[in-house]
Amino acid sequence: MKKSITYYPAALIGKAMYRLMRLMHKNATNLPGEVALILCPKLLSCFKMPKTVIVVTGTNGKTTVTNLIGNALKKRGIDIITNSLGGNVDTGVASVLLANSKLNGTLKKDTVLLEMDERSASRILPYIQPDYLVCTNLLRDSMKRNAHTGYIFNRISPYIPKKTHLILNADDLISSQLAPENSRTYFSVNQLEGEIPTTDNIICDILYCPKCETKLEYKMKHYNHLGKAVCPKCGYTNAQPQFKAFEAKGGTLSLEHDGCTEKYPLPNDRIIDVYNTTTAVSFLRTYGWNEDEVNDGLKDAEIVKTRYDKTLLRGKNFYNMLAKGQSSIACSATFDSVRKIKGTKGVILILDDFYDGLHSSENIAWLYDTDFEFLNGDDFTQFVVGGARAEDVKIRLMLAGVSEEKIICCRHEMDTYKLLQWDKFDNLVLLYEVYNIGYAEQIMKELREEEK
Amino acid sequence: MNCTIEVLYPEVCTIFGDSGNMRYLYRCLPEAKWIKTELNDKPYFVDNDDVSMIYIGTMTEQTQKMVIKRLMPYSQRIKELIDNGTVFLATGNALEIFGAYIEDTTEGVANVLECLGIFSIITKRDEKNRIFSLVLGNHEDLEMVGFRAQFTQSFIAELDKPFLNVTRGLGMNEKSNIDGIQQNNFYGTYLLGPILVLNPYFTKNLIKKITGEDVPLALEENVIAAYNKRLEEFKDSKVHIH
Repeated sequence: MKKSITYYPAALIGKAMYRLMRLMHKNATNLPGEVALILCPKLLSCFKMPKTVIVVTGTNGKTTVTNLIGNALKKRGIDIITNSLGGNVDTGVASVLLANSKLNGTLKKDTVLLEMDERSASRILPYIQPDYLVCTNLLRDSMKRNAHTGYIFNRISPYIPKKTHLILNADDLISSQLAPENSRTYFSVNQLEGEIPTTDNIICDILYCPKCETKLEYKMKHYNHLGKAVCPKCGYTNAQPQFKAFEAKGGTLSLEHDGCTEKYPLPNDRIIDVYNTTTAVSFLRTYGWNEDEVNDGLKDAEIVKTRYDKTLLRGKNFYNMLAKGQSSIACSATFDSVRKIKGTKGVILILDDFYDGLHSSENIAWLYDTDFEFLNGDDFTQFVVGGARAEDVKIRLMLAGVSEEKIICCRHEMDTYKLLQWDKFDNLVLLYEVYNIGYAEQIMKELREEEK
Repeated sequence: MNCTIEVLYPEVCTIFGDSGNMRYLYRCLPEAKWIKTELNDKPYFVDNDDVSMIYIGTMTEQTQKMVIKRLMPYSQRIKELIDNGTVFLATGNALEIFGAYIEDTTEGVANVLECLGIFSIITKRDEKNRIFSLVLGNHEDLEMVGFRAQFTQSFIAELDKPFLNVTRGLGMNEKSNIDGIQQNNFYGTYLLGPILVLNPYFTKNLIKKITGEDVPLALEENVIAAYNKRLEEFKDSKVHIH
């Protein structure tokens, strides 16, 4: 492709900025790309993309799936360019491509693996023309960032190049309809042994048949709208999957493909991790690897410990889990996992949006789309809520049926752990918003110090 | 207490936390008769005169089309109920369906969607231009707080009475400092989410209109404390509005 006249100055400046920032031990995940895109808005179309370009997107799980795929590729000796440690919008993609290309725009490796924010599709996909687009799911996310699933669908679907092969979730009647003319591979997850389907979510984003507007009948829901549904009038239903997970236990995922059973390592048997692993396997098999190669690639895969971890503290189980703020479905999925923990539970909630807390007053509407009802039960014995919106969370907990006596509020996140009444619970659960990881890590550290 | 509250299409018209309004109102009025009308049901208000309040909340643009199609045959009945003083609460973009039309310019060409035509409101939608703001305003003698998030700007005739005079944050279009519309007991506002939880004094007045009685609010002390805190924040010039 003929390069824009502004490409070379933009690339030179972007590359120089990247190197300078790295020398200064800065991450350089977005700024070099941001500056280069201002100088050359068509920058992304000026790179000579390598043999294989893979993009992973979706509301939930894209980071984990990108990591699983990236680690597997690297483990099998495939040298990749990836933004797994950096920005997933157009500026982040530009930065990582600038850092890994020659001045003429030729990428230095044969494979590019990119995590992509759903809203950035129009600014990325038409330019980099991926060979594969993996979409984990499309679920209701932050109102501020993502509006609703219909909006996000329209921000992705029209921008998918015709050549791109799609890896899609058949259990998601929204994302499974992306770019209907494109070739595709579907995956799904059956109801698993011991799985209690979550039928009581507040949110279900597809209730009516997209063909005839009749109310769909859900046969099974893993959570929210992810599951099996059929239209009683016209028969519209989920697509037939090529990869169908049917068992997840003892650290092994079993799935059916072409009439045969395949087995893969599973880092965690929570349903969201079953989906993430099924997605990664479906991609790697479609990419051309056989079962043994995929097994080798995924062996010893771990979920990042800042997203989920279980340890012992003062003789009690101590769980720390990401509960993505402003994102009701992700947060509800975490609450669902918490309610399934056996025994009495004390819960620390630090859910405020960190950046809103610095400059603004957070929109708390999302609390009412989130299943706080999952936290109501005799086995929940104490809640400590920290942050500027603690009183709002308390009201939401009380409207979910939690009695006021169980709830303690404090203005500062770092005060929460000091208010725990340790004799009240067998399990301590620390739930934190993604940008509150700093607080969560500090709380964990303080609790460990106290234990000594 | 003898009152009937109909919630229109709660399964699809509560996308931005609006379900909090009915969850809260239910806690305040557990003895009321509650009717939840789904999208393919005939609304209760069509054949019954005992409806005290009708609620409808925020929906997707696609759902707006479906809702308008279903309510259009009953637009005269809705007008009659408004004229008779039935309480209506429409939050977020539900307000738009009661207006004249919605003009969508997202794709560069104007697509016009005819609405129920009960009020003069006209709406212009551009999905490439999202509006997000905290809102502080006056509704009669009350200060109200809330949030808006939308792709639209709306315009009402000069003679129409707005729901809010906005004192901080964005109004219903770039040039106005008003929000929503009010006529008799119809309250339409772009404020979305759990506005009844956020605005306890408005909720008290609303309940009095529905029941004719002074009813204590659920969790009254807590919601008033949270309201006062938020009011203070919204008035603080250091707090960004969006």
